[in-house]
Amino acid sequence: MRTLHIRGGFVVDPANGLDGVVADVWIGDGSIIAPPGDPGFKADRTIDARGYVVMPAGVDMHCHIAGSKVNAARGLRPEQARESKGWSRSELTRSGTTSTVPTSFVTGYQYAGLGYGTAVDAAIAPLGARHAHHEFQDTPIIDKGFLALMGNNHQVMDAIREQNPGRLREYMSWLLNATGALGVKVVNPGGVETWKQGHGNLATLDQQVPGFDVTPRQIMTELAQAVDQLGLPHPMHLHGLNLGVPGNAAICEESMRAIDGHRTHMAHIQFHSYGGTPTDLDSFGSSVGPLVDYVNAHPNLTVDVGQILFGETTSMTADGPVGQFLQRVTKRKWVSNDIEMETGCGIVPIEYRDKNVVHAWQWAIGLEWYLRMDDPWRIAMSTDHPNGGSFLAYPQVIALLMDRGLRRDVLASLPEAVRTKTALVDLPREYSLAEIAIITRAAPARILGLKHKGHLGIGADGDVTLYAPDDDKTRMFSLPRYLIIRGDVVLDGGELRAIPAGRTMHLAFETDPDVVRSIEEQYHRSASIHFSHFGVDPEEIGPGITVPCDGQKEVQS
Amino acid sequence: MPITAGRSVCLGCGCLCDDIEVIVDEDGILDPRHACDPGRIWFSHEGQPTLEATIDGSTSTADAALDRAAEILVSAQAPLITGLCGLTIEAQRFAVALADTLGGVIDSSKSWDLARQQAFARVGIVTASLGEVKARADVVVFFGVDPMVTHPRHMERYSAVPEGRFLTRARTVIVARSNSKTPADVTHRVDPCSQLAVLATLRAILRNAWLDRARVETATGLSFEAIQGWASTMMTASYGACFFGSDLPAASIESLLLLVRELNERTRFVAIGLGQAGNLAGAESVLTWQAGYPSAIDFSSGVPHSLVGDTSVDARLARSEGDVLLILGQSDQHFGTNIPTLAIGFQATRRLGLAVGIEGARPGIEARGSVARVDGVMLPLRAIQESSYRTEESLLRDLLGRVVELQARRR
Repeated sequence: MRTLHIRGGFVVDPANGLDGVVADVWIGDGSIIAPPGDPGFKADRTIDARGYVVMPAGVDMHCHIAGSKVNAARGLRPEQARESKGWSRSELTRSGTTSTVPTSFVTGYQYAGLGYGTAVDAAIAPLGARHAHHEFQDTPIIDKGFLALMGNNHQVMDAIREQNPGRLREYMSWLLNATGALGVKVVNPGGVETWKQGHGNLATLDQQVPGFDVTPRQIMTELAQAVDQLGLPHPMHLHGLNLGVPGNAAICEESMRAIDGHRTHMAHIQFHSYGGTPTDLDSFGSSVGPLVDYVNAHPNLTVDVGQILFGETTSMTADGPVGQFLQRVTKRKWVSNDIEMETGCGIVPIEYRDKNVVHAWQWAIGLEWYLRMDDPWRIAMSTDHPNGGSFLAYPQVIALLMDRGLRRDVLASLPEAVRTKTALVDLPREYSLAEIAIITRAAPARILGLKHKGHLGIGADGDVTLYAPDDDKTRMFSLPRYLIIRGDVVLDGGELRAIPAGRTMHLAFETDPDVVRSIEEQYHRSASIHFSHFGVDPEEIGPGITVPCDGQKEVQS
Repeated sequence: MPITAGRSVCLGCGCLCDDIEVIVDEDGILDPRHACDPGRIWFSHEGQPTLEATIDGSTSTADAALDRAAEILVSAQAPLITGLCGLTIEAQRFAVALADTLGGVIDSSKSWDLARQQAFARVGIVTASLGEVKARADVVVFFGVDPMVTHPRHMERYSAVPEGRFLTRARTVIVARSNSKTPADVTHRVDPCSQLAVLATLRAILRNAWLDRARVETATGLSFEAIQGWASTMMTASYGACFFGSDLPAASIESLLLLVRELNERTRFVAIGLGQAGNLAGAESVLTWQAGYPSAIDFSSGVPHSLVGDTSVDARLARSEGDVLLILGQSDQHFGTNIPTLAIGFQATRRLGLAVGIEGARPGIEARGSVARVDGVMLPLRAIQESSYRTEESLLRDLLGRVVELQARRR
């Protein structure tokens, strides 16, 4: 057995109740093992971790790092790639560009540089699954997976209209299996299809989707229920209606009520927590209060934040109408891509400016969420990379959460309307190191249903990050001392030492051939490709981990 | 994740029809059911009998030729790599890795593709997968192209014929081209030199701008009523699709993309390229995710750079700024260069004057892999026949391995 001994660090492993306890961590053949019974046992390698903080490697549960949308964004912004420093080729690493949408290899290297070991792309169109898996194979070091978009899928909406939940589950399990997906994503349910038909966006939960005679309320509740019944490891991952629209907090709360007790993950909730009215920008403000109260009181709900940072970035979403809205506001270049039977896509460059009242509100609203959630186990750190900003900004966000003085300093530079009205001023909370470990690893792993991630208990993946304690938290979390992936030292003092391939995490289901035949009949009606070319072959997926649903067993390949 | 057996992808034009049932008879002759005439030619185009590999014109084994190729490439100061479009995505991934490792220049495209890439990078695109056109488009515009000739099954499969789930009325097909064989409800005889003026006029009508009738007619070569009618058909579409070719100049493509974008203030409209034979879309995609740009990448500084007109293989050859040329996959292009030339792929060893030639199995007939359609949808290729040659993917993987090994030894 290949062994690594991480000796004497301050272990912060909230899932196992360790909060800065001096302890040893042992890894054998890639997984955490119990300390050997023989006190004289010498590991193949020992890291003297005395003085260092030892945490599970980071887990990003909501980002956009692969597939046709991300790649279109790269192609759209050569000016950014040219201005960026770029990533140099070395004996170990491939070269690449380092814009707000880094190249695939650089994405893996940068996550590792940040002490992260896992990232989940939150929005892949099933028809784009093959592309996403290709890019995943060129995204090294991290384990990764994607959520398949289903909220505007024709067969999903047809099954819901026909009030046939059995058919819905059969279709979903077939689709998850055929695409090698890790979970179910719902984006603006029904709204994207309605917009694609030229009828504009949907603004309420009970409008009908033309041609399908279902409502957003039905789509989200039926899908949430089906996800629970299928026993998927991760709940339905919801990006609701009216993203970015002033006053959208009301429909956000209504959506959470509509879910009615089913597990649901509310994605980038910052973008859904606005007060005011669309016609009066002066009325724009925070409505975090009622939303966070609701989430605090309902344990079936989890959130990630989608924090924005000031600066240039590239917005990208499966919410086609949001792309069109942003393009109207920014007047900048715009990619929109309708994907047959499934979804839309919008990409628009955007700059968040601290002098802009709306942007300043967005910044404050994100932080308000972190600081007002009672239970850190139900909130995950995200910038919705690259929508709110790059994942490289996580250390900045951590610093803001751990230091109210820093928040006050930034607030002082923001427009008066925000400075005087935001609830941030009255939130003295400062995150502890353990709480940071929860929202950046333990909680996202638990919310994703990844039992081997986000903790250092026996059997967990041997993914460990060591940090040098530092009063400057941005520096501390920007420069991990070591990153260990499955027992191998990948990062040592800021230098990459090894580049493992990383694995693709996906679900697997058996599907009844009769069911597949009936799906095929429906498929041919509107598809432009032959049904036999839709599914992704196992050999098209890189080294994989099948994540089990309730009642299934885990398989590694 | 099973794939039900049976259909093949034709790479004969940009349609990438994937419904071809290929029957193989006892003599190994392929009968591609559903294929159009150019498609039948693509399937029937057998590789000429050829050698496994050559070194300086003499017969060799693939292994010895790979060794030699690696030595030449590692010794080169400025290797140039081209011919990505004939490769599968799997092989393209190794090709870009090879260019990166060597610090060379790699290119996928001819100059006219750069025009489209630049227009895209300037304004973006409002586009769709082809099934959206099939399902929704009640107005289809073929701008400057003649799909009946170049993409014979395009109309049948995607754009004009199929019954769409969301179509509430018959489709209107508009062809904008001076000499066209494509059947249409309306044909506007737009001369290539008037294309930009036509696009500008359509955009002006869309914005209710005041137009001088006589000047419009002179500039566009169309009657004022005809172009107004055209604009009105597009504006009243419930979902429109405008197809364009890759031979438009950058300004026209940009204007077309802006026209379609602006139409979305009134209705839904999308722009989609007609696409080209082979796997150009795959090449652009792989180059972009690995190196950040869709074509013409120079890795010599250790970081990828791309500047149109400077970092393309054509430009480097013209300026004699390359000392080895590696041509990948099937390519009829002539480069007219005296520098040592290597060729790896299907029909590669038939090229004359090669320092190294290594024959590869033919993608989609003899080798599996995947390719991208013009709308970005990726399709799997399967091997229908066995080949006595190795796949381009495995040759490039081995070449990369040898290069990395040699570099380490020389370090």
